[in-house]
Amino acid sequence: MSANTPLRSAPGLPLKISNVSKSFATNRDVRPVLTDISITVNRGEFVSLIGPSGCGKSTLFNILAGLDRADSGEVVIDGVTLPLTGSAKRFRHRAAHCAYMPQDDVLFPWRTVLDNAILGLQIAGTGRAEARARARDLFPAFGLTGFEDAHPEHLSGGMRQRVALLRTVLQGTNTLLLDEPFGALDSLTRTDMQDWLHGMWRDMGWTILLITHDIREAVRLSDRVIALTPRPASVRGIIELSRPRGDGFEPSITSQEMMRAETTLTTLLHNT
Amino acid sequence: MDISRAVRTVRRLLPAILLGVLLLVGWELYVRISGVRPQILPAPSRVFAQGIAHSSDLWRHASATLQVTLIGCSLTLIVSWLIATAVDFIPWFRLSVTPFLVASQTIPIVAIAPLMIIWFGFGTLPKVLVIILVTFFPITLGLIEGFLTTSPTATALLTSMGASRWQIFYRLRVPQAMPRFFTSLRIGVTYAVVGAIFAEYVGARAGLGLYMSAQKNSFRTDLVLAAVALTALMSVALFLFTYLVQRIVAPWTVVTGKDTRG
Repeated sequence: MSANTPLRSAPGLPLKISNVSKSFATNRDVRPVLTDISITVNRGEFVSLIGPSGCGKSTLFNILAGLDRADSGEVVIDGVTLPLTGSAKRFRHRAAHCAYMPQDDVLFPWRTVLDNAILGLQIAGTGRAEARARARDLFPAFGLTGFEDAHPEHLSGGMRQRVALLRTVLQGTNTLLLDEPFGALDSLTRTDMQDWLHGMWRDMGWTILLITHDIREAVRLSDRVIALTPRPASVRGIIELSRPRGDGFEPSITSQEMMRAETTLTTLLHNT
Repeated sequence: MDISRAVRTVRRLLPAILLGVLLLVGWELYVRISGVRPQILPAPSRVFAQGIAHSSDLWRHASATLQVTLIGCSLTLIVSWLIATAVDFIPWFRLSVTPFLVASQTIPIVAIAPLMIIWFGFGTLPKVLVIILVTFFPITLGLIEGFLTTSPTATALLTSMGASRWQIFYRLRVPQAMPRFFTSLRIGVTYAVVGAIFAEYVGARAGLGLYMSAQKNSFRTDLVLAAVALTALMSVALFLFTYLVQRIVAPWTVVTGKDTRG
């Protein structure tokens, strides 16, 4: 499985967010979006961020993915501190950021499935032949064998998400940022994909930070669920979930603990 | 290319062909029944017969027109890609260029074409310039707007991967712009033939425009119309040619209308 494990193993925590705050300036006033967010994700952990729509989750993700800056605070990824608050116009941190999977699959119709998967590698300067070889190794695990040369429009929603995840994984960073990856899927496909993602996470040793507003999804998949307040977002509560749940992971069975967690989260999220 | 596909194509074309035949038959009947003089309105059969009789002349002029059209279009393509790319990279350049793009489109060709002859003579150059003038605007605008249709999410994804502005341009913005580019190219090439004819009409050594002008002066309405038909054929051919190019350059933008899922 050497090709399947994350490629960089840097010392330190995969992800440590300390006291991050951000506000947007409109022409009338300054609106805080994130206030004093601190989150730690340990290696190999599956952590979910849950919060009401528009609470600022995506802004936090944009900061982690290097798309946005914070006003204050610190983010350390794999021991590397992101230049969060610098005044430089270009503040990209090429090496340190997480692999980011946006809400839409963003597969390019002009690329085959295989070539969509290698996009991140190509951007990072890997040659096409080598990138393709590395991607091909992962096709069986992602259930995409035989679709290498297909175009994305011929894939089902679930398969498209798997291609998008493969593209994310191939970037070779330790930490995956998944922004509501199953939001657009029908509920059946969604459940299948959750099971699949869980299995992959367990086998591959990924570190995952997942954004969702589906309480059940968060509880089924995570080691830890972090509930955020409505805008401006701050951490309202953290729920730890034990593993393994019962005898091995049985995602389709809602255990007592999971039910309790769901209730707690519902209370946390609805009492404003 | 199987038979069923050929049958489908014919079926799609049939309504247009039928309408065309109907119009021609109506025209022919009208000319025969009313006995109008051929100098005023020749019958389509006469236009066709005379066109065949003068085909070598027509061909010589048509190839001159085609030549300037292709040169003009190629130059337009180069210039519009350069300018659209510059506009895409340099925001203030957009602001400075856009007014001139629009202005170039408001120049009356009727006025400028004769001036071109005065400035640049009867050769190829003035025709090419007129063609550039009429095709430049739609193609450049199509490209600029094509680049702008790029989805912010895709840009964000590439940025998160650490892509440079240039990588975002050629890996994302260029392919994204292809549908609009080809739409504007089709508008452009159709204008191009008309532009070429007009420039030749004003003054030229060869070309369908010159031919039409000369035949009109000797009341050969039939030959003028034969040249018109040839012009239309040429425009349609160029128009279809852009689809062929699109199929090769940007196959994902071509709607097959057939579900290949499976």
